[in-house]
Amino acid sequence: MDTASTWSHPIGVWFGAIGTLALFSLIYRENRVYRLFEHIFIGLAAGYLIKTTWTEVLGPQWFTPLFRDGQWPWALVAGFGLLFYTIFSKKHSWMSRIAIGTLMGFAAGQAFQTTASDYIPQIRRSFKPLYVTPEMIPTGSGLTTLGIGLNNLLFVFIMVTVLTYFFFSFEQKNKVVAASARTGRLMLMFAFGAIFGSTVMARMALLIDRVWFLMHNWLHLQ
Amino acid sequence: MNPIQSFLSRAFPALHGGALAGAVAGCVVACVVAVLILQALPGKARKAVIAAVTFVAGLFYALEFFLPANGQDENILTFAVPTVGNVTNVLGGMTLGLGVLSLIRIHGANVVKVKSGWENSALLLTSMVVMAVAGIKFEQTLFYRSLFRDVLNSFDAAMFAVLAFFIVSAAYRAFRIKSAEATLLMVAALVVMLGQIPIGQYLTHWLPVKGSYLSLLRLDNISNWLLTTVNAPAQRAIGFGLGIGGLAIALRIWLSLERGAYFEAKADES
Repeated sequence: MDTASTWSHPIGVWFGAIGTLALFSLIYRENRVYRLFEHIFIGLAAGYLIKTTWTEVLGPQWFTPLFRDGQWPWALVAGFGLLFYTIFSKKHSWMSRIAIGTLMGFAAGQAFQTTASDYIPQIRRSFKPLYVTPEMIPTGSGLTTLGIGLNNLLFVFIMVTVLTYFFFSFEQKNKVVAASARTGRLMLMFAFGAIFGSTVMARMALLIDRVWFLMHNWLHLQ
Repeated sequence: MNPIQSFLSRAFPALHGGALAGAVAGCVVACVVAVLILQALPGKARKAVIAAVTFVAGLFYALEFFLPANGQDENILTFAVPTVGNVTNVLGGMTLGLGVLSLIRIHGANVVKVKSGWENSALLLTSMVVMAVAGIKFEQTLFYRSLFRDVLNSFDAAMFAVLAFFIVSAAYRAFRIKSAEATLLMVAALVVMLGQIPIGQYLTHWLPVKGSYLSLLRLDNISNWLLTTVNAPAQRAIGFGLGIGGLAIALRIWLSLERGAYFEAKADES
Protein backbone atom coordinates (compact mmCIF):
# COMPACT_ATOMS: atom_id res chain seq x y z
CA MET A 1 0.00 0.00 0.00
CA ASP A 2 1.54 3.33 -1.00
CA THR A 3 1.92 6.32 1.31
CA ALA A 4 -0.81 8.33 -0.42
CA SER A 5 -3.48 5.71 0.20
CA THR A 6 -2.47 5.13 3.85
CA TRP A 7 -2.83 8.87 4.50
CA SER A 8 -6.03 9.38 2.52
CA HIS A 9 -9.63 8.31 2.82
CA PRO A 10 -12.42 9.06 0.33
CA ILE A 11 -14.52 10.81 3.01
CA GLY A 12 -11.54 13.00 3.91
CA VAL A 13 -10.90 13.77 0.23
CA TRP A 14 -14.56 14.74 -0.30
CA PHE A 15 -14.57 16.94 2.80
CA GLY A 16 -11.25 18.51 1.76
CA ALA A 17 -12.53 19.14 -1.78
CA ILE A 18 -15.81 20.71 -0.64
CA GLY A 19 -13.89 22.84 1.88
CA THR A 20 -11.40 23.91 -0.79
CA LEU A 21 -14.24 25.04 -3.08
CA ALA A 22 -15.95 26.80 -0.15
CA LEU A 23 -12.76 28.66 0.73
CA PHE A 24 -12.28 29.59 -2.93
CA SER A 25 -15.79 31.07 -2.93
CA LEU A 26 -14.26 34.08 -1.13
CA ILE A 27 -12.83 35.12 -4.49
CA TYR A 28 -16.39 35.92 -5.56
CA ARG A 29 -17.47 37.47 -2.27
CA GLU A 30 -17.70 36.69 1.43
CA ASN A 31 -20.52 34.26 2.21
CA ARG A 32 -21.88 31.95 4.90
CA VAL A 33 -20.34 28.78 3.48
CA TYR A 34 -16.91 30.43 3.38
CA ARG A 35 -17.27 31.57 7.00
CA LEU A 36 -18.35 28.08 8.08
CA PHE A 37 -15.28 26.40 6.56
CA GLU A 38 -13.04 29.25 7.73
CA HIS A 39 -14.09 28.47 11.31
CA ILE A 40 -13.53 24.75 10.78
CA PHE A 41 -10.08 25.53 9.40
CA ILE A 42 -9.19 27.71 12.40
CA GLY A 43 -10.42 25.01 14.78
CA LEU A 44 -8.42 22.29 13.02
CA ALA A 45 -5.30 24.49 12.94
CA ALA A 46 -5.64 25.29 16.65
CA GLY A 47 -6.19 21.60 17.41
CA TYR A 48 -3.12 20.68 15.39
CA LEU A 49 -1.10 23.29 17.30
CA ILE A 50 -2.24 21.73 20.58
CA LYS A 51 -1.24 18.32 19.25
CA THR A 52 2.25 19.39 18.12
CA THR A 53 2.86 21.38 21.32
CA TRP A 54 2.08 18.28 23.37
CA THR A 55 3.80 15.67 21.23
CA GLU A 56 6.90 17.74 20.39
CA VAL A 57 7.38 20.04 23.39
CA LEU A 58 5.41 19.40 26.56
CA GLY A 59 5.36 15.59 26.23
CA PRO A 60 9.04 14.85 25.54
CA GLN A 61 10.53 17.88 27.31
CA TRP A 62 8.32 18.11 30.40
CA PHE A 63 6.00 15.11 31.00
CA THR A 64 8.54 12.37 30.22
CA PRO A 65 11.44 13.84 32.27
CA LEU A 66 9.11 14.51 35.21
CA PHE A 67 6.92 11.43 35.41
CA ARG A 68 9.00 8.77 33.65
CA ASP A 69 12.59 9.83 34.42
CA GLY A 70 11.76 11.14 37.91
CA GLN A 71 13.32 14.59 37.36
CA TRP A 72 11.02 16.25 39.89
CA PRO A 73 12.30 19.88 39.52
CA TRP A 74 10.26 20.00 36.29
CA ALA A 75 7.21 20.29 38.56
CA LEU A 76 8.55 23.72 39.57
CA VAL A 77 8.78 24.72 35.90
CA ALA A 78 5.10 23.82 35.48
CA GLY A 79 4.24 25.88 38.56
CA PHE A 80 6.21 28.77 37.15
CA GLY A 81 4.49 28.39 33.78
CA LEU A 82 1.09 28.53 35.47
CA LEU A 83 1.91 32.14 36.39
CA PHE A 84 0.97 32.99 32.76
CA TYR A 85 -2.62 32.10 33.64
CA THR A 86 -2.82 34.66 36.46
CA ILE A 87 -3.51 37.08 33.60
CA PHE A 88 -7.16 36.00 33.89
CA SER A 89 -7.33 37.18 37.52
CA LYS A 90 -7.47 40.92 38.12
CA LYS A 91 -5.92 40.55 41.56
CA HIS A 92 -3.00 38.34 40.47
CA SER A 93 -2.48 39.42 36.86
CA TRP A 94 0.79 41.24 37.65
CA MET A 95 2.39 37.84 38.34
CA SER A 96 1.99 36.86 34.68
CA ARG A 97 4.66 39.49 33.98
CA ILE A 98 7.15 37.42 35.97
CA ALA A 99 6.68 34.51 33.57
CA ILE A 100 6.56 36.79 30.51
CA GLY A 101 9.68 38.64 31.76
CA THR A 102 11.51 35.32 32.11
CA LEU A 103 10.67 34.34 28.54
CA MET A 104 11.77 37.80 27.38
CA GLY A 105 14.98 37.50 29.38
CA PHE A 106 15.75 34.14 27.77
CA ALA A 107 14.99 35.61 24.34
CA ALA A 108 17.20 38.63 25.07
CA GLY A 109 20.06 36.38 26.18
CA GLN A 110 19.67 34.23 23.09
CA ALA A 111 19.78 37.40 20.96
CA PHE A 112 23.37 38.00 22.10
CA GLN A 113 24.32 34.50 21.04
CA THR A 114 22.44 34.84 17.74
CA THR A 115 24.34 38.04 16.95
CA ALA A 116 27.64 36.26 17.49
CA SER A 117 26.77 32.99 15.79
CA ASP A 118 24.60 34.24 12.90
CA TYR A 119 25.25 37.87 12.09
CA ILE A 120 29.00 38.22 12.64
CA PRO A 121 29.88 35.32 10.27
CA GLN A 122 27.37 36.78 7.77
CA ILE A 123 29.05 40.20 7.97
CA ARG A 124 32.43 38.55 7.39
CA ARG A 125 31.10 36.56 4.42
CA SER A 126 29.39 39.62 2.92
CA PHE A 127 32.69 41.30 2.09
CA LYS A 128 33.41 39.10 -0.88
CA PRO A 129 36.75 39.13 -2.70
CA LEU A 130 36.87 41.62 -5.57
CA TYR A 131 39.98 40.02 -7.04
CA VAL A 132 39.03 36.50 -8.03
CA THR A 133 41.55 33.83 -8.99
CA PRO A 134 40.62 30.76 -11.11
CA GLU A 135 40.76 28.53 -7.98
CA MET A 136 37.91 30.53 -6.47
CA ILE A 137 35.46 29.70 -9.27
CA PRO A 138 32.85 27.20 -8.00
CA THR A 139 32.78 23.96 -9.99
CA GLY A 140 30.21 24.01 -12.77
CA SER A 141 29.28 27.70 -12.29
CA GLY A 142 30.22 28.55 -15.88
CA LEU A 143 31.37 32.02 -14.84
CA THR A 144 34.72 33.67 -15.45
CA THR A 145 36.93 35.31 -12.83
CA LEU A 146 35.84 38.70 -14.19
CA GLY A 147 32.15 37.74 -13.96
CA ILE A 148 32.44 36.56 -10.36
CA GLY A 149 34.50 39.65 -9.47
CA LEU A 150 31.84 41.96 -10.95
CA ASN A 151 29.05 40.06 -9.18
CA ASN A 152 30.95 40.32 -5.89
CA LEU A 153 31.52 44.04 -6.43
CA LEU A 154 27.82 44.53 -7.13
CA PHE A 155 26.90 42.47 -4.06
CA VAL A 156 29.04 44.65 -1.75
CA PHE A 157 27.89 47.86 -3.48
CA ILE A 158 24.18 47.00 -3.08
CA MET A 159 24.62 45.92 0.53
CA VAL A 160 26.50 49.11 1.48
CA THR A 161 24.01 51.40 -0.29
CA VAL A 162 21.01 49.69 1.32
CA LEU A 163 22.70 49.90 4.72
CA THR A 164 23.26 53.63 4.07
CA TYR A 165 19.56 54.04 3.30
CA PHE A 166 18.69 52.58 6.70
CA PHE A 167 21.24 54.74 8.51
CA PHE A 168 19.07 57.20 10.41
CA SER A 169 21.53 58.18 13.16
CA PHE A 170 22.24 61.49 11.42
CA GLU A 171 20.63 63.59 8.72
CA GLN A 172 21.76 62.50 5.26
CA LYS A 173 22.95 65.93 4.10
CA ASN A 174 26.30 64.89 2.67
CA LYS A 175 25.99 64.48 -1.12
CA VAL A 176 27.81 61.14 -1.23
CA VAL A 177 25.70 59.72 1.60
CA ALA A 178 22.48 61.08 0.07
CA ALA A 179 23.34 59.60 -3.35
CA SER A 180 24.24 56.28 -1.74
CA ALA A 181 20.97 56.24 0.20
CA ARG A 182 19.02 57.06 -2.97
CA THR A 183 20.76 54.21 -4.81
CA GLY A 184 20.02 51.94 -1.85
CA ARG A 185 16.35 52.84 -2.13
CA LEU A 186 16.34 51.87 -5.81
CA MET A 187 18.14 48.62 -5.04
CA LEU A 188 15.53 47.89 -2.38
CA MET A 189 12.83 48.28 -5.03
CA PHE A 190 14.63 45.67 -7.14
CA ALA A 191 14.75 43.37 -4.11
CA PHE A 192 11.10 43.96 -3.23
CA GLY A 193 10.14 43.28 -6.83
CA ALA A 194 12.06 40.00 -6.76
CA ILE A 195 10.43 39.06 -3.44
CA PHE A 196 7.02 40.00 -4.83
CA GLY A 197 7.60 37.89 -7.94
CA SER A 198 8.72 34.92 -5.85
CA THR A 199 5.70 35.26 -3.55
CA VAL A 200 3.27 35.36 -6.48
CA MET A 201 4.90 32.26 -7.95
CA ALA A 202 4.71 30.43 -4.61
CA ARG A 203 1.00 31.24 -4.30
CA MET A 204 0.43 30.15 -7.91
CA ALA A 205 2.18 26.86 -7.14
CA LEU A 206 -0.26 26.34 -4.26
CA LEU A 207 -3.17 27.18 -6.54
CA ILE A 208 -1.97 24.66 -9.14
CA ASP A 209 -1.59 22.09 -6.35
CA ARG A 210 -5.20 22.72 -5.28
CA VAL A 211 -6.49 22.37 -8.83
CA TRP A 212 -4.50 19.12 -9.12
CA PHE A 213 -6.05 17.90 -5.84
CA LEU A 214 -9.55 18.67 -7.07
CA MET A 215 -9.04 17.11 -10.50
CA HIS A 216 -6.82 14.17 -9.60
CA ASN A 217 -7.58 13.17 -5.99
CA TRP A 218 -11.26 14.13 -5.94
CA LEU A 219 -12.62 13.80 -9.48
CA HIS A 220 -10.00 11.22 -10.58
CA LEU A 221 -9.43 13.06 -13.87
CA GLN A 222 -6.04 12.32 -15.41
CA MET B 1 31.37 16.59 34.89
CA ASN B 2 32.04 20.13 36.14
CA PRO B 3 31.43 21.21 39.80
CA ILE B 4 28.06 22.88 39.11
CA GLN B 5 26.83 19.87 37.18
CA SER B 6 27.86 17.40 39.91
CA PHE B 7 26.32 19.64 42.61
CA LEU B 8 23.02 19.80 40.71
CA SER B 9 22.88 16.04 40.14
CA ARG B 10 23.48 15.48 43.90
CA ALA B 11 20.97 18.17 44.95
CA PHE B 12 18.23 17.07 42.58
CA PRO B 13 18.48 13.27 42.23
CA ALA B 14 15.96 11.40 40.09
CA LEU B 15 13.14 9.98 42.21
CA HIS B 16 10.56 7.32 41.49
CA GLY B 17 7.33 5.99 42.94
CA GLY B 18 6.23 7.44 46.28
CA ALA B 19 9.35 9.64 46.58
CA LEU B 20 8.54 11.27 43.26
CA ALA B 21 4.92 11.85 44.28
CA GLY B 22 6.13 13.40 47.53
CA ALA B 23 8.61 15.65 45.73
CA VAL B 24 5.95 16.80 43.26
CA ALA B 25 3.56 17.51 46.15
CA GLY B 26 6.36 19.47 47.84
CA CYS B 27 6.86 21.48 44.65
CA VAL B 28 3.13 22.26 44.52
CA VAL B 29 3.21 23.48 48.15
CA ALA B 30 6.37 25.53 47.41
CA CYS B 31 4.64 27.14 44.40
CA VAL B 32 1.55 28.02 46.47
CA VAL B 33 3.73 29.53 49.22
CA ALA B 34 5.73 31.47 46.60
CA VAL B 35 2.50 32.87 45.10
CA LEU B 36 1.27 33.93 48.55
CA ILE B 37 4.57 35.66 49.28
CA LEU B 38 4.57 37.37 45.87
CA GLN B 39 1.02 38.58 46.37
CA ALA B 40 2.01 40.10 49.73
CA LEU B 41 4.79 42.16 48.12
CA PRO B 42 4.34 45.94 47.83
CA GLY B 43 4.18 47.56 44.36
CA LYS B 44 7.84 48.60 44.09
CA ALA B 45 9.08 45.19 45.16
CA ARG B 46 6.87 43.56 42.52
CA LYS B 47 8.52 45.62 39.81
CA ALA B 48 11.93 44.70 41.21
CA VAL B 49 11.02 41.00 41.12
CA ILE B 50 9.95 41.24 37.45
CA ALA B 51 13.16 43.12 36.55
CA ALA B 52 15.28 40.65 38.51
CA VAL B 53 13.87 37.48 36.89
CA THR B 54 14.18 39.06 33.44
CA PHE B 55 17.81 39.95 34.16
CA VAL B 56 18.69 36.54 35.60
CA ALA B 57 17.06 34.73 32.67
CA GLY B 58 19.10 36.76 30.18
CA LEU B 59 22.24 36.57 32.32
CA PHE B 60 22.51 32.82 31.84
CA TYR B 61 22.94 33.10 28.07
CA ALA B 62 25.14 36.20 28.41
CA LEU B 63 27.46 34.42 30.87
CA GLU B 64 27.47 31.26 28.81
CA PHE B 65 28.56 33.35 25.85
CA PHE B 66 31.14 35.56 27.56
CA LEU B 67 32.80 33.08 29.95
CA PRO B 68 36.02 31.66 28.49
CA ALA B 69 35.69 28.25 26.86
CA ASN B 70 38.05 25.28 27.11
CA GLY B 71 39.58 23.42 24.17
CA GLN B 72 36.25 21.72 23.41
CA ASP B 73 34.52 25.11 23.08
CA GLU B 74 32.66 24.60 26.35
CA ASN B 75 32.63 26.50 29.64
CA ILE B 76 31.19 25.85 33.08
CA LEU B 77 27.62 26.70 31.94
CA THR B 78 27.54 25.04 28.52
CA PHE B 79 26.20 21.75 29.93
CA ALA B 80 23.01 23.56 31.03
CA VAL B 81 22.20 25.12 27.63
CA PRO B 82 19.97 22.21 26.45
CA THR B 83 18.09 22.13 29.77
CA VAL B 84 17.55 25.91 29.81
CA GLY B 85 16.47 25.63 26.17
CA ASN B 86 13.93 22.98 27.22
CA VAL B 87 12.70 25.21 30.06
CA THR B 88 12.19 28.02 27.51
CA ASN B 89 10.35 25.62 25.19
CA VAL B 90 8.13 24.32 28.01
CA LEU B 91 7.29 27.85 29.18
CA GLY B 92 6.60 28.85 25.57
CA GLY B 93 4.46 25.73 25.11
CA MET B 94 2.44 26.59 28.20
CA THR B 95 1.50 29.95 26.68
CA LEU B 96 -0.49 28.05 24.04
CA GLY B 97 -3.11 27.46 26.72
CA LEU B 98 -3.71 31.23 26.88
CA GLY B 99 -4.70 31.29 23.22
CA VAL B 100 -6.82 28.16 23.54
CA LEU B 101 -8.59 29.55 26.62
CA SER B 102 -9.27 32.81 24.76
CA LEU B 103 -10.77 30.86 21.85
CA ILE B 104 -12.92 28.84 24.25
CA ARG B 105 -14.05 31.98 26.14
CA ILE B 106 -14.99 33.93 23.01
CA HIS B 107 -16.56 31.12 20.98
CA GLY B 108 -17.99 29.35 24.02
CA ALA B 109 -19.81 32.58 24.92
CA ASN B 110 -21.15 32.80 21.34
CA VAL B 111 -22.57 29.29 21.63
CA VAL B 112 -23.98 29.67 25.14
CA LYS B 113 -25.64 33.01 24.34
CA VAL B 114 -26.75 31.75 20.87
CA LYS B 115 -25.29 34.83 19.22
CA SER B 116 -25.31 35.35 15.46
CA GLY B 117 -22.97 32.79 13.88
CA TRP B 118 -22.98 30.56 16.97
CA GLU B 119 -23.00 27.46 14.79
CA ASN B 120 -19.64 28.54 13.31
CA SER B 121 -18.25 28.94 16.82
CA ALA B 122 -19.56 25.50 17.79
CA LEU B 123 -17.90 23.95 14.74
CA LEU B 124 -14.64 25.75 15.52
CA LEU B 125 -14.55 24.36 19.05
CA THR B 126 -15.61 20.88 17.90
CA SER B 127 -12.99 20.71 15.16
CA MET B 128 -10.31 21.95 17.59
CA VAL B 129 -11.15 19.24 20.13
CA VAL B 130 -11.44 16.52 17.47
CA MET B 131 -8.08 17.44 15.91
CA ALA B 132 -6.28 17.71 19.26
CA VAL B 133 -7.67 14.43 20.63
CA ALA B 134 -7.15 12.57 17.34
CA GLY B 135 -3.58 13.90 17.06
CA ILE B 136 -2.56 13.08 20.61
CA LYS B 137 -4.43 9.82 21.19
CA PHE B 138 -4.94 8.33 17.72
CA GLU B 139 -1.98 9.63 15.72
CA GLN B 140 -1.39 6.37 13.85
CA THR B 141 -5.01 5.93 12.73
CA LEU B 142 -6.30 6.57 9.22
CA PHE B 143 -8.87 8.97 10.70
CA TYR B 144 -6.19 11.36 12.00
CA ARG B 145 -3.99 10.97 8.93
CA SER B 146 -6.86 11.72 6.57
CA LEU B 147 -7.99 14.62 8.77
CA PHE B 148 -4.47 16.04 8.61
CA ARG B 149 -3.66 15.40 4.98
CA ASP B 150 -6.99 15.53 3.16
CA VAL B 151 -8.66 18.22 5.27
CA LEU B 152 -6.21 20.43 7.21
CA ASN B 153 -3.53 20.42 4.50
CA SER B 154 -6.15 21.11 1.82
CA PHE B 155 -7.71 23.99 3.75
CA ASP B 156 -4.28 25.43 4.55
CA ALA B 157 -3.16 25.34 0.92
CA ALA B 158 -6.54 26.67 -0.28
CA MET B 159 -6.33 29.64 2.11
CA PHE B 160 -2.90 30.60 0.80
CA ALA B 161 -3.88 29.88 -2.80
CA VAL B 162 -6.77 32.35 -2.43
CA LEU B 163 -4.12 34.96 -1.71
CA ALA B 164 -2.87 34.48 -5.28
CA PHE B 165 -6.02 36.21 -6.51
CA PHE B 166 -5.72 39.08 -4.05
CA ILE B 167 -2.06 39.48 -4.92
CA VAL B 168 -3.09 40.00 -8.55
CA SER B 169 -5.24 42.98 -7.55
CA ALA B 170 -2.40 44.24 -5.34
CA ALA B 171 -0.04 43.79 -8.28
CA TYR B 172 -2.27 45.96 -10.44
CA ARG B 173 -1.84 48.83 -8.00
CA ALA B 174 1.86 48.16 -7.42
CA PHE B 175 2.73 47.80 -11.10
CA ARG B 176 1.26 51.08 -12.25
CA ILE B 177 4.39 52.87 -13.35
CA LYS B 178 4.39 56.23 -11.63
CA SER B 179 8.00 56.55 -10.55
CA ALA B 180 11.47 55.08 -11.03
CA GLU B 181 10.97 52.96 -7.92
CA ALA B 182 7.69 51.48 -9.20
CA THR B 183 9.32 50.75 -12.56
CA LEU B 184 12.19 48.88 -10.94
CA LEU B 185 9.77 46.93 -8.78
CA MET B 186 7.68 45.98 -11.80
CA VAL B 187 10.67 44.97 -13.94
CA ALA B 188 12.19 42.84 -11.18
CA ALA B 189 8.89 41.13 -10.36
CA LEU B 190 8.14 40.48 -14.04
CA VAL B 191 11.57 39.01 -14.77
CA VAL B 192 11.49 36.78 -11.67
CA MET B 193 7.99 35.51 -12.55
CA LEU B 194 8.79 34.97 -16.23
CA GLY B 195 12.03 33.22 -15.31
CA GLN B 196 10.13 30.64 -13.27
CA ILE B 197 7.36 29.69 -15.72
CA PRO B 198 7.69 27.61 -18.89
CA ILE B 199 6.38 30.34 -21.22
CA GLY B 200 8.90 32.80 -19.82
CA GLN B 201 11.72 30.34 -20.29
CA TYR B 202 10.45 29.61 -23.81
CA LEU B 203 10.86 33.27 -24.79
CA THR B 204 14.64 32.95 -24.59
CA HIS B 205 15.05 29.21 -25.12
CA TRP B 206 16.92 29.81 -28.38
CA LEU B 207 19.83 31.36 -26.51
CA PRO B 208 22.66 28.98 -25.51
CA VAL B 209 22.36 27.47 -22.02
CA LYS B 210 26.09 27.73 -21.22
CA GLY B 211 29.43 28.51 -22.76
CA SER B 212 28.56 31.92 -24.22
CA TYR B 213 27.94 35.41 -22.88
CA LEU B 214 24.57 35.25 -24.66
CA SER B 215 23.46 32.65 -22.07
CA LEU B 216 23.45 35.46 -19.51
CA LEU B 217 20.48 36.96 -21.37
CA ARG B 218 18.26 33.91 -20.84
CA LEU B 219 15.29 34.91 -18.69
CA ASP B 220 15.82 32.06 -16.23
CA ASN B 221 19.46 33.13 -15.77
CA ILE B 222 18.50 36.80 -15.32
CA SER B 223 15.82 35.77 -12.80
CA ASN B 224 18.33 33.67 -10.87
CA TRP B 225 20.91 36.49 -11.01
CA LEU B 226 18.35 38.98 -9.70
CA LEU B 227 17.54 36.71 -6.78
CA THR B 228 21.15 35.87 -5.87
CA THR B 229 23.10 39.03 -6.69
CA VAL B 230 20.60 41.88 -6.33
CA ASN B 231 17.98 40.56 -3.92
CA ALA B 232 20.38 38.70 -1.59
CA PRO B 233 22.60 41.69 -0.60
CA ALA B 234 19.58 43.95 -0.11
CA GLN B 235 17.94 41.33 2.09
CA ARG B 236 21.18 40.80 3.95
CA ALA B 237 21.46 44.55 4.63
CA ILE B 238 17.86 44.51 5.93
CA GLY B 239 18.81 41.49 8.04
CA PHE B 240 21.80 43.32 9.54
CA GLY B 241 19.53 46.23 10.44
CA LEU B 242 17.09 43.83 12.06
CA GLY B 243 19.93 42.11 13.90
CA ILE B 244 21.34 45.32 15.32
CA GLY B 245 17.86 46.56 16.21
CA GLY B 246 17.08 43.20 17.82
CA LEU B 247 20.28 43.33 19.85
CA ALA B 248 19.49 46.88 21.05
CA ILE B 249 15.94 45.88 22.02
CA ALA B 250 17.25 42.73 23.71
CA LEU B 251 19.64 44.83 25.82
CA ARG B 252 16.84 47.23 26.77
CA ILE B 253 14.50 44.39 27.74
CA TRP B 254 17.23 42.53 29.62
CA LEU B 255 18.10 45.61 31.68
CA SER B 256 14.40 46.57 32.07
CA LEU B 257 15.01 49.89 30.30
CA GLU B 258 12.29 49.35 27.71
CA ARG B 259 9.27 51.64 27.84
CA GLY B 260 5.82 51.09 26.40
CA ALA B 261 2.30 49.91 27.19
CA TYR B 262 3.43 46.61 28.71
CA PHE B 263 6.65 47.80 30.34
CA GLU B 264 5.29 50.98 31.88
CA ALA B 265 2.24 49.27 33.36
CA LYS B 266 2.57 49.45 37.10
CA ALA B 267 2.99 46.15 38.86
CA ASP B 268 0.99 47.48 41.77
CA GLU B 269 -1.97 48.61 39.66
CA SER B 270 -3.92 45.56 40.73
